[in-house]
Amino acid sequence: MNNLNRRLQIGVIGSAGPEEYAFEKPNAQMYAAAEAIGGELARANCIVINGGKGGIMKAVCRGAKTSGGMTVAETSGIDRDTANEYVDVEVVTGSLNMTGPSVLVGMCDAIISLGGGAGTLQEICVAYRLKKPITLVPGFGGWTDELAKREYLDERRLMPFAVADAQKAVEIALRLARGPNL
Amino acid sequence: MKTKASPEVIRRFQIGVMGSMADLAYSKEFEKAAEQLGEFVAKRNGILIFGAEKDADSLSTAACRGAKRSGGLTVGVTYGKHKNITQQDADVIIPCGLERGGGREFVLVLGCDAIIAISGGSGTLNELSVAYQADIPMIALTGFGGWADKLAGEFFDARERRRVLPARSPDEAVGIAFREAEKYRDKYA
Repeated sequence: MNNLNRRLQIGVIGSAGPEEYAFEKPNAQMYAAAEAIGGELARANCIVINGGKGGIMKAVCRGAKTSGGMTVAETSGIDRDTANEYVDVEVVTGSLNMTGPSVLVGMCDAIISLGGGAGTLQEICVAYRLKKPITLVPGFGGWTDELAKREYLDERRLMPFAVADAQKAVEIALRLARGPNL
Repeated sequence: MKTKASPEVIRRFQIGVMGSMADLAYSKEFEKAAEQLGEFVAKRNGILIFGAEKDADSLSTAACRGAKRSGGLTVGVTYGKHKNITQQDADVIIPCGLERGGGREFVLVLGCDAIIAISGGSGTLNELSVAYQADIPMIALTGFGGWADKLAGEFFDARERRRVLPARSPDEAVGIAFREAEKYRDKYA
């Protein structure tokens, strides 16, 4: 059952964007970074997993689609067509925002995080317990920056955070996703 | 149509106590404080909600013991499908059909009118982040390290929805929890 040739599924998480709340600083640079990450994931033949809504989610999907990639969104609620226009597959989970993250994170081989509020933090908590590699891209505020100051999420030291700039994030996330033996 | 709950039928508050699991190697002093939290919740006629484990003790389970000792009603939310939790004298056991480390935690938190956190690793942090998103009052009993100490007095993000309220003693923490639970109940009645 172990398909070693399957495409990697990489989750990109972070700030939901101005339709929900606004950071103090303009988000243009953060979105540009997320879009570049989406493009690079597409060129590396990865499937981009995300929440399918606005902010980082939309930026990363746009980047991936512009580079011919595939995007899968795990969406909250029960309705079709709530995802942004750059989403290929909409997985409608019937969940609330705060009850969806374990589905999203479970689908991923590795996670890349930028900015981010409480929802992003929750996703990182789930990923840490599942030992899914987490690559933090600091510089845009939020929990990504806060956690980049720490090595581990708790004293269990289950898995260290990787920290990278936007240019290096995909390379590092893919190396961690493949694991030491591949 | 949205109606206010009848004033003659006021439900009891459901107060959660959450904190480190035993693998985080806390001292007896931590356990005693968690038990006291449970005792005070019971003495105020609250229903104690805790995260029930099947393979280890935890500060949350210690709170259940404290509540039981004071004659309180306790509800354990556990992962998986069976009721084989360590604290077999819990009054109600709810297997939520979800795994630990994500799913079980949001069921646990959404059952609370307020949660009190003591020390805590990634699980407690997860639970606090859910409470914040659901606008459920959060109290951090300080002085025991972990994420509770780190987040005491803080907002979780720029939405500034609700602060984690600091408390210096179990008595104070439970007092704040009931005060905030009442406001929360009225807000979403």
